[in-house]
Amino acid sequence: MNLAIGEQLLQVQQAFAKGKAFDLIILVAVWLLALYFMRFRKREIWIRRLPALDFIEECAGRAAEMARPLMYNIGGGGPEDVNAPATVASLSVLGYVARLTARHGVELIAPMRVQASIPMAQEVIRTAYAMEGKSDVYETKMEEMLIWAPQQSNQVALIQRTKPAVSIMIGPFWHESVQLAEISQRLGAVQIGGTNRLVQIPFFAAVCDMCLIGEEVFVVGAYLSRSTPMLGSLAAEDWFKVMAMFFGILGTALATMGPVFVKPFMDLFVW
Amino acid sequence: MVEKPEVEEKTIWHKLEDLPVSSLFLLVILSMCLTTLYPLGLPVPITKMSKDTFDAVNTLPQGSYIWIYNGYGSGTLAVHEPGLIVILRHAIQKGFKIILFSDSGPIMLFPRVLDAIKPDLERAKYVYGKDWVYLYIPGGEPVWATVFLDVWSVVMVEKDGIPFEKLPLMVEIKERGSTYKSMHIVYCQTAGSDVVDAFVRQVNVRYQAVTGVRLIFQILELMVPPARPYYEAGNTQGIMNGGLGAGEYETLLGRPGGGLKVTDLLSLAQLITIAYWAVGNVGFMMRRRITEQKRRD
Amino acid sequence: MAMRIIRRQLPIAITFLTGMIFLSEWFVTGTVLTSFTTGLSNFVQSVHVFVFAFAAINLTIVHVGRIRRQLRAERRDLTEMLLSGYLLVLMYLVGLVGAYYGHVRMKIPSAVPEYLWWFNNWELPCEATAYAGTLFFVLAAMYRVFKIRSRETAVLVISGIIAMLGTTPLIASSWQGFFQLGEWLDRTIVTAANRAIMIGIGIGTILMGIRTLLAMETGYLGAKEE
Repeated sequence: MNLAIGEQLLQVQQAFAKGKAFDLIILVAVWLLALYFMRFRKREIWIRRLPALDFIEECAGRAAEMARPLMYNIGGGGPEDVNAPATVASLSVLGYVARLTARHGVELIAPMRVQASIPMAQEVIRTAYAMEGKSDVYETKMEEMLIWAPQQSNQVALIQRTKPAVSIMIGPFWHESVQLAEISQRLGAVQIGGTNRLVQIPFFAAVCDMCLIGEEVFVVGAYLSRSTPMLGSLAAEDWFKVMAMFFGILGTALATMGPVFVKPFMDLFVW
Repeated sequence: MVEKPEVEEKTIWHKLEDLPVSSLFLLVILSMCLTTLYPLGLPVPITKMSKDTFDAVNTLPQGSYIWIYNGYGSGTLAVHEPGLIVILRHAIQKGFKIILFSDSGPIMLFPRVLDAIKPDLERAKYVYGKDWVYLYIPGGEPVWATVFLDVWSVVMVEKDGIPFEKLPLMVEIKERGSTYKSMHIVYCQTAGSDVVDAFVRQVNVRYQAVTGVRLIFQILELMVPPARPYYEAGNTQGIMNGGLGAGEYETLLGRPGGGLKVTDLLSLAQLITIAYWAVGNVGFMMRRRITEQKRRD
Repeated sequence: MAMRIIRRQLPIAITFLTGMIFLSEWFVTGTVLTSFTTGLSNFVQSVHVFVFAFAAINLTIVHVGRIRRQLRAERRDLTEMLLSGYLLVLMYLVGLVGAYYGHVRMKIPSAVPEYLWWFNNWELPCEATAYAGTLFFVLAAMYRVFKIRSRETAVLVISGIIAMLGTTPLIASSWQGFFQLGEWLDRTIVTAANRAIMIGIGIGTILMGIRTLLAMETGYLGAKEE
């Protein structure tokens, strides 16, 4: 505490982890570019349509016509694990879906696998119903809306019992994905699936009617809100992908030329 | 008069296209029961990935420290248990210091593994606390990040409550400095792909350049394609491809076990599935052809 | 106003500060940041233990509620009552009694044999069976989906068959061709596709993190009430 500023800076410099300088530069660049697109870029940003999300409103109508519930599954991740971003993204869609179900008078069922997600989901649904002026519906049906179903067998039994018209599964899923999707398909439900977990993407793509693949799960909040800062972050994301493609092509070319060219290139990333 | 809608005549191709799925289930179950009761002893080709996994362990000198994370549950027991047993056998054979760590679930399953490796432990005169230890470390990646830096700051007792001060192996690790300096190879068994990413981040990215620590995995077969980029890029030195990989490892070690039983099972079940696909597709294509012909006529 | 700060601004501030500290610790190790993150990790560990206790209490409340509804119902579902209530109570008793005799009376540090018996002969087979049930759903789904309807599905089915034959030990050891083809598919095409999706997911996660830290993504706090 009594050390001079210079000595403190030296300590920080010594504490700076070896080989991380490039990472820091990239991180700062990512933040700056994201901030530029989110805050300062005024031109309207066009993003392509995500049919899976556009389809949700039709699905709510379908559920209303068939007088069957709409099931929304946020997956098995919690707010404290590595899949928290996908869970948070899924909660954004849950809010949107809850508003639709409140508006159309459709029964919403949201099975929860992780207990820690339940208070967040409760808050999201409560607010959504309040915004549609249906707080009384939420208060009476709250217990039937949010059901704790920690095992895949609980969720399969729930689907078989409630026979939803629509099954939306967006979030981090594990091996239960194919079970839930297959059961819903057999009961004639329309399915929208989306997961960030690479292993489960093929199952959703094969079985669901509409699918969000990988990073599309993370753009749902921006897509549904259509706010300029959020859309700006999507533009930043695409530019980073362009950079990743550039490095990939460059690395491939260097690797084709020979390993003697690759090492200096790789050393650039480790300062 | 209301016209009845034209009903397509059900031919043999319709039946082949839509074979009852229950028959597929029955055949798969029967094949699995038969191969479990009467193992076929089919030869197992060794993949480069399994060979690399074996070499990653085999090329380390005696006295190396191997950290084993067993993150499997009852669901994937048939695949991961043979993998854990064969790695422990190999580590004991090589005279490694073994540090196992996990959450609570796998600890309940460990007595089964202990029964299997007891003869190896006795033969090698392994003493618990001196040559091997099992730690209970819940909490996931945030905790592992700190464990690999300094395990003593995270937990002070092993899984049964014995304090670290009474375990010579843990005292040895403390005396060597930061925990990562006592990590020569990390073997991670998991059924979750997030754990694979977490270990690459916390072990390979952080410490591989510093200490040359090796990282190998045993994961389920369906998790191998997403994990392969790590293997191809060198972030992991080898991946044991589920039960099949465990069987290959057992073949390389010369200690047949549960893994080789799984390979027999896989052979028949996969062949039956492929046969159903083929028949279903033949039925589908023939049925479509006939429907198109009728439409043209 | 105070409620708004507590419900929205405070969690956002905590998220931002904690996120920045963990990010900084990645780059600057061995300082007070490392001690803080270590302490926070230990806190996470402690919370984990409480989550188990909370889960047990919550589970009891939920099942007691279900049993009460069953008792009030005209037609009682005995199976549900049995599975919900009695087994739960039984496992609690076995656990508590076993823990008392094991830890307190007999000083056995790990799980007592009686509890292990219930675990190995009841829970383990049930959980393994439930997990194994996934196989049949996958088989049914793949049998239904893998039909050659177009050029793309033809490529999918043929590559799927090659990959499966390559991992079938019987076939792979008879003719190395399938084995090598399967390996080649895995090593080049599958790895390349997975890498691309992983890069996309990684970038998406980073941007999601930035949006969360900058309080743009507040879905977890509930929608803003208008």
